Amino acid sequence: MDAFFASVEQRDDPSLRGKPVLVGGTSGRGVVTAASYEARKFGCRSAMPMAQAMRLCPQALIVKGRHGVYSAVSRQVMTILESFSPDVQPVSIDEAYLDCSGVLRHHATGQPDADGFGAGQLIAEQIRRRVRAELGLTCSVGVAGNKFVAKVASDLNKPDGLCVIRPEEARDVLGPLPIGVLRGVGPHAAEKFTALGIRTVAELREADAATLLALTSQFGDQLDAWQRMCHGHDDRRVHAGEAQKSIGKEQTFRQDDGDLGRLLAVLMKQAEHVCRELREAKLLCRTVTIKIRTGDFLTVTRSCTLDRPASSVADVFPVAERLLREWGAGNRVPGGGVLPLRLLGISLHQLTDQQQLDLFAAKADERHDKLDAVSDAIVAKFGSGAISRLRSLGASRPDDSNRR
Amino acid sequence: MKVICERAALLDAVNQVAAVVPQRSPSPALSCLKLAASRQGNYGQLVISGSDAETSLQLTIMQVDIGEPGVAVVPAHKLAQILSAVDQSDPTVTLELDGETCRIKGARSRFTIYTFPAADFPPLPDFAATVSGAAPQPARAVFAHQAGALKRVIERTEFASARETSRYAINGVLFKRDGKKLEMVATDGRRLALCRSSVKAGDKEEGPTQCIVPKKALSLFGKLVKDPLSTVQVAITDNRAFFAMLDVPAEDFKPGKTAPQPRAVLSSLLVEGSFPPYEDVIPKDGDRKITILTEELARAVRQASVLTNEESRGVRMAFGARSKTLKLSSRAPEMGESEIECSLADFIGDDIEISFNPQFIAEALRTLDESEVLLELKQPNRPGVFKVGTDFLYVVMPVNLPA
Repeated sequence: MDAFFASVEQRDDPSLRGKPVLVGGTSGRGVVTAASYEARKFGCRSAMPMAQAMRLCPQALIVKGRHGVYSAVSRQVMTILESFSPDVQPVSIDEAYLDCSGVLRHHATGQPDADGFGAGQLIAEQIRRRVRAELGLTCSVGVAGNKFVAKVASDLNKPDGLCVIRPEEARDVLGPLPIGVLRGVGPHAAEKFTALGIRTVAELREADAATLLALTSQFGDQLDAWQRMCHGHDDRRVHAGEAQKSIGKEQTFRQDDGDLGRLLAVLMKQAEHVCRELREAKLLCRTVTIKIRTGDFLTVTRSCTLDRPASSVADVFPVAERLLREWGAGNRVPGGGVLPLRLLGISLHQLTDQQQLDLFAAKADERHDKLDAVSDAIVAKFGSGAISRLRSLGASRPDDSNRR
Repeated sequence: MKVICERAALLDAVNQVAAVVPQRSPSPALSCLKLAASRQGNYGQLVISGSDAETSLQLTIMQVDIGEPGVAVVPAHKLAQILSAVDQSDPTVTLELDGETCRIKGARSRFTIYTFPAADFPPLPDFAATVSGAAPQPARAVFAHQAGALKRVIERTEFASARETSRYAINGVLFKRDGKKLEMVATDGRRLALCRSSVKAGDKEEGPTQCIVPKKALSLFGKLVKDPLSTVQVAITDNRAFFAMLDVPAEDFKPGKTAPQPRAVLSSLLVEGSFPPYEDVIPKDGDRKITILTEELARAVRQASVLTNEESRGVRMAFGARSKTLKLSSRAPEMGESEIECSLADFIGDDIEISFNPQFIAEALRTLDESEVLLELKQPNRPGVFKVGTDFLYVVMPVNLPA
């Protein structure tokens, strides 16, 4: 999807259309989660601190994200993809791989199409048409013989693009691209490549033995995979129905906060949110992790594995609370409170769609399940602020209301 | 104290008792063993005791020659290490207390370790006094059982108990004795094992007795049984259970004052709290009755569990009535899938498909020596029951798999 969160906002609010839009924490200490293409012209990027984005583009309109809406739209997109082929592997909320190799005949063009790329292109066009017509959003599709090249192709004509790279063209198309297109080459690795005079894919392909030796000593086995990618090879399969790996929620505070009571209220709010998302996806989690970033940008995580998979706040929150309290016990500051936090977050891992049933299903569990079901229904109808646990109140500072 | 011991017998006993003792303890004397050498008439004996505040174990070895009676308190795990390191060529080893140190002599090696004052070693609960009623906590029930038979009942239940306690006290095995009937039950909330056995009437009976014995004590029990036909005497007080191993055939055992001195006494504090209402969850309405060869099912379940993982534990089991086959299928995301076939000895009822954690089934089958098991099922979201005769049943809750 193109600038996914920002596009959804522009779709739903006409006053945002054609204007630079930043989605993310509105406090100025938050992070950009999406920037519209208008904002990208100013250099704004997702994952950039909001303050920096606002300096780059002061006229940008800032929107607080509506993540419930984004996941709902994401599911609509995945449903469209699944109507073409059952082999859909979602990679993130707005990206997925689709293996069409089994359905090419079904989409035959009638033209000679020995390698099936004609049918592939047809499917891509239909996907784009349906996403536009049914959801009012644009997306970019890449068609290729494997996952890596397809991903590169989808990025080539962004936004609202379609790009087909046949296997025999892959080498030529990849050659001039920066080394950073290779999966796993981040800014850090790219720097190491640059130091050895390699900036593009072609340069790595043609590197001499001495350079390769130097690279091998730095990257080891990873280099083999990159070299294969340089030639357009990638033998990873599309894993349909691949489970979501984790669900998380975090918040950067307007002002570093060391009040344990307030932090716990924030954590409760986040726990309610992630548990609701977990239940929407019909999953259970086995591990609860909290993420803590102090004012000096030191980030730590603490995890705990549950006795049995859970999706209820009543099971998840006490664990998260204990983790935060344990951290707090080791990080008290004189005068009360804990080391002030810049960021606090919770994430759920080891997700499973299997539920081991209990012999002695407790009355208490049944009550929690009912409470969850009712509050899910209320949230679905009236929005996420409509109902929450008492413990999540007091999540904002007393002076916040004055400032707004 | 000076004792010459048979090396192998001593090592074996020290290892068993040391298994009870914590590696680290706030008070060093608590991670020690107490060795007490004495002469009883013409015989010498060495009593080795160890404890972890909850469980305690006392073993008596007779393969000793007492030079000088006495008591030594020595670090348990260090002593075990020394005894296994000492020369194998010499069949004996000599322990000698000299002031505050204990010398351990083999053929070509000599070790000296520091001991602790005997007074620092906590007193262990006294089995004889408990049975006679002289102890502050007298036994409310005492009965004898064939050691091998009790071992079997324990093995068929203990594995199903929980490691941690929950709102119910399930980190132990329920021990229920009523007249000649003994019933043990263990559960971790997802499966439940129940095994029955009949005991000789006890020498002290005050109506039905019921208690929860911790997992740790029961897991030590099996190793204490040397001769399955010998006797184990069980005593239960308000907060403790005792298992005393007697070198007397269970057939010949007569309760009363003539009972010989036990070779081993295992005792444990009981688990406090209430056991869940387990009788309510044993289904009685399973209308699919399936008979399977134990080994055939064990093989199939083992094979199917290869392609499962933490996030995907369930194995789908499709029972076909007409074909009398069971098809198991498992799937580990991003890894692969398996399909296993298993033939059924008999099947009464309609086809059914249900999913279980294969580990739960495998653990139960491992304890069985009978060639066939009966499985009763009702619905995919209702528990299944494995039965062997009338003395063993095992309830397993299914896993809800996505459609």
